[in-house]
Amino acid sequence: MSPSIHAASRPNRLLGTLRVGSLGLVVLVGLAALIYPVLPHRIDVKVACATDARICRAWEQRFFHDTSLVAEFTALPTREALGRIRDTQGHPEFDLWVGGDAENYYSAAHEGLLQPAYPANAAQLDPHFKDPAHQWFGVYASVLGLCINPTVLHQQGLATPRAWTDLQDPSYRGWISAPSPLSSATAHAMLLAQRTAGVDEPGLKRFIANVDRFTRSGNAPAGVVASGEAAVAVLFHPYCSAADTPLTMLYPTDGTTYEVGSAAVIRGTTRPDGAELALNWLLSPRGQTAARDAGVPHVPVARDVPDNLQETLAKQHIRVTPTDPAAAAQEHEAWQAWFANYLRDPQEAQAPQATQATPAEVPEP
Amino acid sequence: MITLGLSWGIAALASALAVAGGVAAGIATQHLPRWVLVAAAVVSGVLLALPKFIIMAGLRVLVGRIGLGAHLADPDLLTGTAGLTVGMAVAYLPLSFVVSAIFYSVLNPALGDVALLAGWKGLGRLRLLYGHITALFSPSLWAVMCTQMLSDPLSPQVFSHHAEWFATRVWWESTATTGSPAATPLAALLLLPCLAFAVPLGLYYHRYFHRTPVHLVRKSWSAARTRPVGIPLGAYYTTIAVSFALPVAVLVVLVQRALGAARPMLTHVLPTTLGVGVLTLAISLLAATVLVVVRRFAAQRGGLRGRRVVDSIVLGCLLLPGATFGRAWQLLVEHLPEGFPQWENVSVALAVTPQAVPFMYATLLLSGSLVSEAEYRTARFLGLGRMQALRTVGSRKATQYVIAGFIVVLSSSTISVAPLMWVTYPESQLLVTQLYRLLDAANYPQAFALSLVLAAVVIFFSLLALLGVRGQTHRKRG
Repeated sequence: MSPSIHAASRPNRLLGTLRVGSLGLVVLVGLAALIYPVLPHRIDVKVACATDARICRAWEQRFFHDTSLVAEFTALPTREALGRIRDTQGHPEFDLWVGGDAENYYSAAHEGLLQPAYPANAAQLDPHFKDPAHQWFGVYASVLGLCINPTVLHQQGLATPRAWTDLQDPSYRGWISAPSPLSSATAHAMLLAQRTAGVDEPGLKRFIANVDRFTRSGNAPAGVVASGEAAVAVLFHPYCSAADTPLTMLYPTDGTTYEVGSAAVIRGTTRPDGAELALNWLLSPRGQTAARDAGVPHVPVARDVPDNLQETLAKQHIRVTPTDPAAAAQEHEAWQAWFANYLRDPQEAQAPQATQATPAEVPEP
Repeated sequence: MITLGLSWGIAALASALAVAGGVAAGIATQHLPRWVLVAAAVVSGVLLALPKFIIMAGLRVLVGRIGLGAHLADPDLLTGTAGLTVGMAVAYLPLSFVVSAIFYSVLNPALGDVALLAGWKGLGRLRLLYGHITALFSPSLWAVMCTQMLSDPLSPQVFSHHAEWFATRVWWESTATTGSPAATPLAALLLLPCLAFAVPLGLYYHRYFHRTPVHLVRKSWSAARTRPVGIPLGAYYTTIAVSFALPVAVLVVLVQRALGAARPMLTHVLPTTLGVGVLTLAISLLAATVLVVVRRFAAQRGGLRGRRVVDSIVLGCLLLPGATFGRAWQLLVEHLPEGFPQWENVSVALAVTPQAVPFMYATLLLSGSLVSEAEYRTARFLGLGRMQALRTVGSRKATQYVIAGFIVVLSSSTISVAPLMWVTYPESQLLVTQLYRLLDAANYPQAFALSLVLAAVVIFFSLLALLGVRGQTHRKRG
């Protein structure tokens, strides 16, 4: 073979190798991608985690670190978690449910979706933070309030809102972010808190008209207000934080509420031991402080943990009207229907009558 | 019903606007310098690899209050019906343009000169050139886009539309308030307007093909493209590459900075999304192959009519609202017997498959029609097996169609919203769910960066596959 022919065939060979290589790479990645989703992996407990994804990850990692058990935490909104538990009754996809207000657990317990459990650490909970029938237990608490972006407020020449009634002012139109009552349990707390604070139905409608975009998740308004798309966001206090935007948390002077984020073992679980172990760990001081250590200041509810709910409320002088889980659970669907009707025809929507709490059942701040 | 009527009205108008815009852009690029077509195709290709709600969010950022909207007179511009209609039309414009450009690209370029010589000018000439083929694809395109818009629960939401959107309601009833008895009938109701397209479309195409004999339709479809002689292609491609290099470099830097905290997310989202895409590709290829065999069987039994019945049923799947199918699939998965493996990603792939099958089916038919039957018979006569004969006579164009079909299915399955949102968790490691989570919290930079990275990966692998297959066919011919 002459040198010139040899030299000419080398790039061709290189190109051919490149082509075969590229096809091989595509096939290899395709095969890997095919196999990846169906690879089996060890799970000791499957948890429906109805709170901030950062907290779910922190719980997952810390639980594994402390117990060597693999827990798979799936983050999803509270109402969706409840919906999935309802729909898979008898063959649950999760073993444990954690996060979201106690009213949802009250509903689930009434529907026979939860299984009694006896975690040792539950002894540290006040009676009003757990179900007398041992079906659900309070894990953390957070207070509902207004998350303010002072820069946007200043740029738009808006006054700092101090009370729920302030948010009805037309000057806030389009500058408020709030979760949707159709998807979020936080939104339900928001409506109930306003009603308890004395806001009437026309007032609620004026407030809703001022909201720019209803988010699906209860924590999402924090991002909206941090991005500058809104000046005020309604959410629970632990989520009012952003990496590079200064935000301020205010509590309405006409009163607000707090949620007791709870946990429960799901009836029919196939991993009851793992579920009970995880529940007990969540109620332990390590579990109670995991969210705070992950940067989300949930308030512990267990008495043996410093800065628990009672101590925090006493320190901050927040005017709180706690919600009775039973009453809140009864009203939930009516409020959802009201909001759906409002979206269709704001004039026609009629707010449900309040069935308020019996004060003896809830703690005094 | 009022909500459904309003949603249908907005979707119908928005898809009509998108079709009109796409057709106008498609025709315009045929008459402008070639680099304009290439640039428009590249931009549209990238936009096609992005979910529609990401494009809508982009519009919101551009003209909303944190963008240009801060200086606009009406800050509520986007929340109204008109804003949503225009926004949806813009989001679907790339799809409309790409479809139009593909159809116009098979027209014989000499026809324009012939029409000019024959004295046709202005609109009359355009009508003569493009009217026939536009009448072929635009009604279907309108109906398919209208169905997709009607089924999309996310786009109106990220656009902060204040009135109720029907698909969003179905989605929330199905997920946020799962167990709500209204979810299933509402999802079924969504089927009505979409099924209503099927009858007029069937009549329209019956009339169209009746008035236009098959050989006339085929005559305008030439697989061969003319290549200009004397143009220095090296310089041409270099100019294109250089003009794109700078914006791409700027984009890479911006994406890198915007990704920020979302960077670790890529390691999960990337393989899972691609995995589901490849799985969908494999399942739809299998299903489409079976359907092609069924079509062949139907043709043997019922002739042209039998073939068209199978075609209509398969392509009619595109008119099936993803929201309806999503709700049905959700119910099925929730009621699987105990012990049945619940692989979320397999379930997602199976849910997306019905939308992918028509594309794959069309791809197989189109590539098959470009294989010369005479050459195939000769190869068989010379003793080659079926597959070997097919490989030997398979034209480069046919192979490219197959690859293009694969790309469409892969990219559409990675960005599909309905039925995906019905069968996943909000935190699932899939592109669409993660993007929606980011957008829900107005985290636009990370959402745009993440979607661009995924689009780049899909495009990169598609180009790699194209390079490999083109190389194989070149070498074979050489």
